[in-house]
Amino acid sequence: MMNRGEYLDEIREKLKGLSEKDIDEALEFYKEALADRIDDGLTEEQAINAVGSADEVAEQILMDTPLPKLVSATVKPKRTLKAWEVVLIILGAPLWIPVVAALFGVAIAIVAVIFSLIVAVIAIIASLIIGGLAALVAGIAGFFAGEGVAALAKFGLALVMVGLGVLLFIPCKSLVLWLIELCGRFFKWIKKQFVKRSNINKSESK
Amino acid sequence: MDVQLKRGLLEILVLAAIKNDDSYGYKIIKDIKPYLSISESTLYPILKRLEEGGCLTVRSEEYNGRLRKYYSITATGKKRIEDFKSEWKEIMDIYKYVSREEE
Repeated sequence: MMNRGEYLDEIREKLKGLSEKDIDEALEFYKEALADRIDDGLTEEQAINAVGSADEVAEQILMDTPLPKLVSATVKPKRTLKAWEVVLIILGAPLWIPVVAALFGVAIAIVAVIFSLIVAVIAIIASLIIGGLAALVAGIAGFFAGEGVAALAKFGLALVMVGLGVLLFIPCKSLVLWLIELCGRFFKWIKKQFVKRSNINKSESK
Repeated sequence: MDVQLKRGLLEILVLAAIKNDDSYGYKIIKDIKPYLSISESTLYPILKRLEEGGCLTVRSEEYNGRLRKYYSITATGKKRIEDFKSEWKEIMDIYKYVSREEE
């Protein structure tokens, strides 16, 4: 079973990549937490169990870290690279740069698709209502200009368009809200990939 | 309980735990335990969030030969509690209506 020092070291290891200030702050908090529980009569081991495993502690902190900070923290190498690794990375650039760029492109494309759907939905509603109002004006004007039946037809068409626009407004509003939520969930999913990956890397290097 | 709801409730519970007197991590956990049981690994991100949101301030004080962090509520934090109360007043009214006796 690990002792207090090992436990804190493990947390530090799992948070590697975050700023020194953030890590120190977290460690101070957990040091205090252990001390308080031990003062309360728990053994070191019991205190560690009560506070939460190093994995749990790190995951909670990482999930609450903003995405850009998280990416730069997890992408940063955990140790200095050996010379041959640097060479490999440089030689491999024609391979990994397109792959990274492609992944990035896919992520952007997904977000773009969601947003264009939102814009399209809004545009449909807006065009129905605006077009309808315009036809309404045209219909009334035509009526006074003596167009007769044609004006009446225009007038009817205008009412249909405005009616459709108003009718579709509520389902479309919830559709847009759902799309926005979908976007948020997508970002959260990306974030989760990073948190998971960073934990796997660290347990492998042990 | 729904995760998002629990998250929101925990923030309010933590603020409530420090609203009368400044408090520290372990005491906050013990104080809110009857309502929602959490460990330090959950509490830490909540405290950070509340601090970043200006709802509380932190200071270190010596205790028993070591440092302990004490958290005090700010005006923003107090307002959060008041907002929560008025919001839940409405929800309670709805609850009463929903769960009223069948006639």
